[in-house]
Amino acid sequence: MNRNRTKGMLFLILVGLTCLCTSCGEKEEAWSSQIKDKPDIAVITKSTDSNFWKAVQRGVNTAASEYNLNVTFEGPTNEEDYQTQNKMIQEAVKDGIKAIVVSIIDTNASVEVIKEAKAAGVYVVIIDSGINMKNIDAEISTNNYDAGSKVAKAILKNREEKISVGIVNFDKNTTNGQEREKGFRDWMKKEKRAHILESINVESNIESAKQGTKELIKAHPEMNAIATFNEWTTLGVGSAIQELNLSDQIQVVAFDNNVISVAMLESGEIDGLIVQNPFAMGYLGIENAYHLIKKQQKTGNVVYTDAILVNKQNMFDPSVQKILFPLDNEEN
Amino acid sequence: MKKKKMQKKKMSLSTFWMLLISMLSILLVGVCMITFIHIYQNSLYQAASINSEQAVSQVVNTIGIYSDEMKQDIKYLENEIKVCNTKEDIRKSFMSMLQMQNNLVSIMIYSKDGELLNYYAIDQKLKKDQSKSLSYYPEMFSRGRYEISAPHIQNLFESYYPWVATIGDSLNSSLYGEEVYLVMDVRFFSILSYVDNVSIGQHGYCFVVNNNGDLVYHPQQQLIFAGLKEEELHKLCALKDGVYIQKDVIYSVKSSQENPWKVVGVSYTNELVQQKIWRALKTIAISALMCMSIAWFIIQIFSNKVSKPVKQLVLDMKEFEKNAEYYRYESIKGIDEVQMLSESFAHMVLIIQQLMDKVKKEEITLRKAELKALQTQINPHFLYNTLDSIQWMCEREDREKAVEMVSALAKFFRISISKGHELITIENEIEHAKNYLIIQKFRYSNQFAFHFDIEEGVLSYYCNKIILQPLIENAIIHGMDATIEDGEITIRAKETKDAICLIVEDNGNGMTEEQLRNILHCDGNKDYGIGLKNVNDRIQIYFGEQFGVFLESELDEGTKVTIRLPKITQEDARKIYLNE
Repeated sequence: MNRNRTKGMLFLILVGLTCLCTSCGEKEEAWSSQIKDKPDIAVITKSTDSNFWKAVQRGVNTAASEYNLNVTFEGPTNEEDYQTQNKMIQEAVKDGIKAIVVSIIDTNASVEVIKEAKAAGVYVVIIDSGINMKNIDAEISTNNYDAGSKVAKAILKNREEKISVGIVNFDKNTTNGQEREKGFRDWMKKEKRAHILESINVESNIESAKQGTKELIKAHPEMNAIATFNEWTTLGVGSAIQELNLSDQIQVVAFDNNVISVAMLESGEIDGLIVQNPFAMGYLGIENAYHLIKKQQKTGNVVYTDAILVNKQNMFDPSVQKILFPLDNEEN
Repeated sequence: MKKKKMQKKKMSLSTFWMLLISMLSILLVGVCMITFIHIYQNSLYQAASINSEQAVSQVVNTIGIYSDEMKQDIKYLENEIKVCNTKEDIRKSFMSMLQMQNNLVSIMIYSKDGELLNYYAIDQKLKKDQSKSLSYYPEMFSRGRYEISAPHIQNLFESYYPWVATIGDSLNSSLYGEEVYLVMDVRFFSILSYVDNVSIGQHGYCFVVNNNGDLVYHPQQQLIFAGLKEEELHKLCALKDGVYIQKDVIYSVKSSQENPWKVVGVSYTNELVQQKIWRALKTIAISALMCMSIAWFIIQIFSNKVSKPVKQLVLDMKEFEKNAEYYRYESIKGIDEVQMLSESFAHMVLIIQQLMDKVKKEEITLRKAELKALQTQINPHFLYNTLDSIQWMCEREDREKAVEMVSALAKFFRISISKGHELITIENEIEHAKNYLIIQKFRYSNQFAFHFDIEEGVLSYYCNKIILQPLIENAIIHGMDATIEDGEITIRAKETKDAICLIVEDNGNGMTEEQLRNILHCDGNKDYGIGLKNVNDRIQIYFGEQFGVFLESELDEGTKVTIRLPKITQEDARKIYLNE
């Protein structure tokens, strides 16, 4: 009886051990196969040709090589084209990627697509511009509200008695633009000498912004400050000022850096630039996606990257150089 | 506590050895594992260090080559300035150089005061405001130093902000009539992208730091300036060249010979060392566990097949020792050796028991023979006395009595001999006793009386011969001698449930308890014992311990001797006779 029992125990122990070993082996195999077929991450941006998105791509590439990942990088040519973006997201999910890093064009129009992606088990990491839904796995963006208030602070440095501000903003359906404007308006309310004349929404391209700005200036000749919130509108406003030769009369505080806007900053059409950290967004987007795939991170992570105000005085400081001038202007 | 001690004492030697050996082997495995892991870890760290060192060396070399090229270029340009006769010649030469060298962004000539005297670049428009040129480092332009600046933005031209590194030298030029600085801005992207692509392990990378602890280049510099990532730059720039192994990170530091820069390689021990060690540890632990459990399994089988049967055999042998005569053993089955051992033991048990039986039988036979010899020795005094009495009767012409005596004597002897058989019927035995009493009564001239009380049923049973006579003799000698009143001897025979009792009772002196105890056990009991013991021994030899002679006696009251016998029928007696 006793002997039988010990035999039974032994048998059980052996079986258990074998199971353990084989399972360990399987785990290791799974691990190594994961290295072979790297987890695919799709980065889908609003567009690919602006300096901002190029810097994002740089961050993405740095992180991808650091974490040994296969990453695709794509976006529609037009920053309003949410339909193409949705298609890209659907395609990526169909291709069996494990995570998408996406900057949403239309905060409402993409909710369904993202829900589908999540239902398919794809991790969703939002960068730059958010979406009107909960349960996003990770979000990396500039603190847009705070960046908006930074624009306001820069304008309020103006010593003039009365500050009349015009706002040139882009697509109303894009979250980050709206948040920036909100942060800006909230801060402006704090000073009585400042008031906002008008806010216009233009298409996110240079021509539309230029026309809008010109009309705005025409409508409000007393205007002495303009705030604008993304790369394209910045260029539009800058060139409008340049063409109207109003660089001394109108203070412009704008968003994002590219060669032209930096040149405008240096030559005075633009008086302040809020520079985001697109490299960090791209890098952290991939890093977060990697940790999500590896299950080393819980979902619901929110990271804010800093935006700094650059003006003519500090634009060539060594540390500002590294943020203001992306390395890949060079690449030709 | 006491209990524990008891248990300790109880632990057998084999268990102790077992424990000791298993503990030793576990210890050994542990020590081996630790040593192996230690060695493995060291070698992994070494490999990681070498890997990191090599990567860093490569970066340093590449930067060196790059710097050398820049130096060669500026030396060439200096030579051109010296060789050319006109500024136009210089322009031509420099422009062709710019066209040839894709990396070259612009060439500038500054006066000692920092005034831009000439610039050469392809398709670039000079900015109006040149007050804050980032390419002018007079302290670096001292003669023959050829120091290369950290990468920076060039802000000479309109809407053009390339990342460049600056190199310059001071020279005397007859064309400019004074000492001027020849400065060259070189695109720095290729070298930086090289640094970007260096990877050590999966996540490791390289960065460049100058001697003040400022970053020259870092693949993730945007993260660092945004405060999302930190490097301990000041600590690192103070380090000498070499490899520094930290808890989680391996730093490899190497200084560039051409520039006051240091290249730092960062790799993570977690992926290079700790993960591998953890995996190795897991594998070893699992295999050790496997081996041990397999060993345990084998030991179990071994002990089941060998140790346990052997232990059982030992127990069986002890049992056999205790009870050799009636021990029964059946051999067990198992592996060959054990089975052979067991079979041999079984065989041995059988042989020993046969031997014992044989010895016992021989002993019994011997004893029987001995007892027979004793019993047949009829006291010569008795014969002499009886014959003397008969002679005396004849002389007195008491013919009848003499005839009676002779007749009794003859019957007495006939039964005594009884063809040499040991067993006779109780009837004969009583007849024998009667004849003896008749003779003795004459001898003692009626000093005692006797009578028989015999149950009819017992007469046909058998008993050893001459068992009553010695008892009666004792009763006469010891019962009569000191009695004043007449002695009386009663001989009874009765049948109980499982035995037959022959009882000889007298009313003589009796015995003390001590005498009683001695009588049956000591051989040397003078005259009383021999006869009695002989009778007892004979009965027990034939029929076993539960039969024999039993004494009851009280001082001055008399003695009662009971002979217990089994019920031996004629058939039984015949079998016993045949066996002998």
